[in-house]
Amino acid sequence: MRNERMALTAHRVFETMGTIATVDVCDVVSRVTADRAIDILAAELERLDEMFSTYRDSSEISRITRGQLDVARSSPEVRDVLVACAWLEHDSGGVFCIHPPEQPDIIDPSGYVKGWATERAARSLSAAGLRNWCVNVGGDLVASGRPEPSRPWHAAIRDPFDAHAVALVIEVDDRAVATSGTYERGRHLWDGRMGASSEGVASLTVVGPRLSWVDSFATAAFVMGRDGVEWVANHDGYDALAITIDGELWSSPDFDRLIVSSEEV
Amino acid sequence: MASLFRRGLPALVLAGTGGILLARFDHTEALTLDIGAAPSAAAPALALPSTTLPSTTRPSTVVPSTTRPATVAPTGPSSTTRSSTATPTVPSTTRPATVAPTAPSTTVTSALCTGAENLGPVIDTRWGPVQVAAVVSQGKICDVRAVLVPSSHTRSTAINSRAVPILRQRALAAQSAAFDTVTGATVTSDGYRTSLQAILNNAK
Repeated sequence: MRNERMALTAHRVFETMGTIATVDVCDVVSRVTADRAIDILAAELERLDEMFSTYRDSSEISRITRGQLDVARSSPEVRDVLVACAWLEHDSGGVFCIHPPEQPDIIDPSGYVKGWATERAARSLSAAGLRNWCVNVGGDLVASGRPEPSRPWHAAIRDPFDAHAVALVIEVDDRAVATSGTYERGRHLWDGRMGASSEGVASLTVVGPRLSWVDSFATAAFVMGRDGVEWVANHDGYDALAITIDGELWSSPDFDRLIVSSEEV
Repeated sequence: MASLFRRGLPALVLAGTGGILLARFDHTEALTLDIGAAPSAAAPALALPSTTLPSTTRPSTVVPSTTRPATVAPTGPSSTTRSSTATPTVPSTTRPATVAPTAPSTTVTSALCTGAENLGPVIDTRWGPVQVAAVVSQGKICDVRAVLVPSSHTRSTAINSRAVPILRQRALAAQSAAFDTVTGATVTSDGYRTSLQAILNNAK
């Protein structure tokens, strides 16, 4: 069940990037201060969505795909994202790929953009002097500080087989969390290697310091299957948990230390 | 090299890492991806205007396999000891537990937003049916959750019905533990948006 949020200063839910965002602020500040910071965060998400959405014909990404915009003349943000995606493709052995195999002319960096944009937008909270907050955009989240002085943020990992159920609860101490799964399989989850599959894994959760990488690693590692857990853990500070279709849990050793509830069973 | 790792050494390696054994360890069907196969020079060659890449410890590209201490368990979490041999997935002890499914609450209360939960219509998407439930107060969304989401795995039903209880055995405590936020694969489909919009329209 959800915690009672005694120290909640602001709680806002809004729609962005084709999904739902939730922002919680627990600092002892005025409501106005928190609201203003959240306004900036929401505006930044919207700005980046306009820039990157593959669903909007006017986005820079769509115009690049149609040959109407040269990458060299695109925004610095677009070039940053494309460079990061190129590194991800290299680092993942081609699993992460911004070109759908059936449509090689299309550029779709969606597997990176949401986490990157959320991390970037969340800076407005820190910039406003807020220290204790959690931003969750469609299940990808970044948390800072603590909801209460006595404990870190607790994030529930959804049961991939039951939208109502929780698989595990983990501590999130100044870290980011993202999950990829078959149950919401979207366009960005193809395998850049062509042919291999995510056989056997129902969902894969990644924890680490930066949401840009956490989210994109989850995307790529999910496609790799159980090997993805090892691949994620080879990056300093990043850990992963896979839930297989048989209900088995596979995690990197450091991930286990984050599990809140296991000792209570 | 990664291939060494996949031949079965990790079970030994892991014994000293202190990781909780999570599930049956069966690594014989590893995929063929070799994470060390890419040229190590490629990543540094990329210029990154304002993006910091996470460091990757990939001994297979820099350490000859003959000199690599593949069977030595690392003793600490420092970055220098983290290698592909140090971080494989590990099996687990299963904790027996009773299952205590939590019923979804029909009213969400917070200090700032309170209201009854409204169920949106089921929307068919190319991945399957989608439905959301939302708490709406004075035209604003207080909270939202997915009620129905696609299960697109081709072997879904039979396997899932077997899998859930196994998962829940392990997860019992998690269901009773309080949490602040939820991570799950993103609901980005138009179905989610459509179902939610219907709630908002009706709430006016």
